[in-house]
Amino acid sequence: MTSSARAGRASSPDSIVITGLGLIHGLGLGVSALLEAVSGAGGAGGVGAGAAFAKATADKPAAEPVECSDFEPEDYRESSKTYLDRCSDLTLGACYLAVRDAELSWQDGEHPRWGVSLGTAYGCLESMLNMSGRVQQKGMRFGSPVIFTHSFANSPGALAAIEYDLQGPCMTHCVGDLSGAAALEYALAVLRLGRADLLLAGGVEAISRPLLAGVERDGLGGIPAEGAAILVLETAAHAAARGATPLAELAGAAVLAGSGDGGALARALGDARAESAEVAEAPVACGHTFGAELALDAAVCVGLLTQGHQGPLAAVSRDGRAALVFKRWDER
Amino acid sequence: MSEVPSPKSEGGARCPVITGMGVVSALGDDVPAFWQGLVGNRSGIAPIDRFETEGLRNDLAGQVRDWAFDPDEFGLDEAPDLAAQFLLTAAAEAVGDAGLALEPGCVAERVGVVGATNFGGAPSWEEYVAGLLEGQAAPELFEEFGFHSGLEHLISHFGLGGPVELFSVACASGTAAVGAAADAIRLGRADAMLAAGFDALAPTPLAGLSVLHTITAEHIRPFSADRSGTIFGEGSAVLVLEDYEAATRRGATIYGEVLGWAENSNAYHLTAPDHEGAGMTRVVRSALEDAAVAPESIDYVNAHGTGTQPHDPAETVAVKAVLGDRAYEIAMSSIKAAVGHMMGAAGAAEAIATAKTITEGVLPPTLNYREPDPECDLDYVPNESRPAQVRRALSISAGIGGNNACVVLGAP
Repeated sequence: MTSSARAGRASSPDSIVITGLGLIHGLGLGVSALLEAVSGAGGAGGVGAGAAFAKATADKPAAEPVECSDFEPEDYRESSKTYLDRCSDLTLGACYLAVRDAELSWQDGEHPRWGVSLGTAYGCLESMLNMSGRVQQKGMRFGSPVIFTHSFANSPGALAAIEYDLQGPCMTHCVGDLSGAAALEYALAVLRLGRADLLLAGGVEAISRPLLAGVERDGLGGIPAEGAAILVLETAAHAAARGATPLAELAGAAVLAGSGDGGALARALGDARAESAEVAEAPVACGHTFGAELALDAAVCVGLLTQGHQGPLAAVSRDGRAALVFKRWDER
Repeated sequence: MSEVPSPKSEGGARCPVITGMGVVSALGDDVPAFWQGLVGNRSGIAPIDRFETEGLRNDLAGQVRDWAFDPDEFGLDEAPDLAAQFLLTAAAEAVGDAGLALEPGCVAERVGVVGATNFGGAPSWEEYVAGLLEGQAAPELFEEFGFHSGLEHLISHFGLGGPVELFSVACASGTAAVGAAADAIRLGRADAMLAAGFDALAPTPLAGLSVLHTITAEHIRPFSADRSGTIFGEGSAVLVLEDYEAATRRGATIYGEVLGWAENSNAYHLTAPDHEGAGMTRVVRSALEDAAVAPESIDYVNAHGTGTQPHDPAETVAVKAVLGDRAYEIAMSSIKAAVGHMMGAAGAAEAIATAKTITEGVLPPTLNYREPDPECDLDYVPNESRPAQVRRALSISAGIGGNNACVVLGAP
């Protein structure tokens, strides 16, 4: 590339679209369960501020953390594993679902222009506790090398890259509750800059003993919960070339250190060249999923747009510091 | 050495330049101590004295010594986690060096940060787990452990309101933070960005790295035939990046330009490098393409150079594959024998070392080098620093999980 080309390097005008969703959450698997809960409770989650619990939570005591009890990890993996942290289980499971939803043919070789961008607030805490417990109670020699390797925050994303031969960009974002949005913002930038053609992007969080014992529940905005949401993001050109049908467009994103001056939503709307957007969110019944939160909200946005909502729709963090703007994808 | 026209002269494109730097390391609490230690051929590696090391393969580490932190200086009631202390201190040096007027209570909406850490508040985690195992979990310790907690302290103290990001891709994190911060400048999302890597030594990570035999039982010897593993370190490294035009207008000192970068995955194995360093080869090539810099324009490589048996030859293969004959004309050195492998801070510290190499015209050495290895047959600046004119350089990092990152720096 000549220096003049580099000087002119800017985001590509090609749109960035979502062609598949892989979701695991307290209400089950996939976006349909989320949208059913939204519509069934007359506005709990979905578009507008969440209010009542969805009827699917009628059987769940309000105080219990929300686990993804419908999810059997072994049923949602491409290859067998001897050990995985729960966070990696959820990540690979959501990737499994997303890849199929997008009808992605990944088995045909290496993919240097496909990648991963994953957000998680706390990563693999159960494995971290296992490792630290052994070290503290038995001594330095008694840590497990396997468990230690799987305790790294980037191990879920790395495992996804290994599973699907994704040799392109591979990033793990740990910005607390903003992590899922950070992952999607990063993927948007990577694709616009032409550094990749496709990324599995989203957020994940696993229930664990350290998390439940340590997190301050006041101010969470929901019951602690686990979940994973992976969106298949690609350039519109790449999607068209492989015959994929976009579900929606990720048009804008912003993740900020502060929330002043209109916050991240104003920035993301500017990025999306949109004047306004209604805010959509996952049902309250899903609980507070930390690093997966905004990725699940994003999936709801996509789901509502495919159902015919006019959009734009936005996923916005409760503190106003992160926002993602989605538009309907009309055939061009 | 071919000349590449400066993009600063072309059509108003934004060019991220380094205007401030701060380091806390085993060599000392600021950049002068860090740099003078490196080019003075000194090592800050010594036995750990902060916690028990019984059972580790090695009690050596690049521990920050004689550490003092005054929470009042940062408007805090009490000292945060040690990793956050390192971060705040290095950031204060960098922001002061850049001459940026940042202060709590005044939100700078065009100033952001990209952080990098492997383990977050690791010392707080150890305390938290000890309490949890006794049935007395302390939520305040869990909060201080959080990967992003150190960053939130930094945001609060410096009044940042711009883009925020925190990467955790093992030892590739710091280099990726520098590259992503540069992108934010280049894309006009911020007027100034901090790229901030931080990590602190703690028993659990060292125990894990010890049982993996990543840690050597003797001394770290990058690229030496008798190498047997790495030694870890701690600290923080922070760079301030701004657009060249804005920096020039306000008379800021410019230490170098971030010309381009790349990150990727080996997509091979969680701990073993891929055959022939294919992942690192791709990332170096992608970084040069992103920077629009020809391989023959590179004058120096700051290597990841961990001193493990598999990594060093793989990195050598990658550099030779991309630079070709140029690899034999230039130097490639690793500073890890001087400060230890600083984990999430390593890539940012190495970017600072590379910027200093460019501006000072001195190559930092690879310490403890003893025996040439036929598989590592480049000039690693063995044991002693030496002068060299460097206008463009690479800094490479790689981490557990198979993550790689590479940044290309140029003279101001």
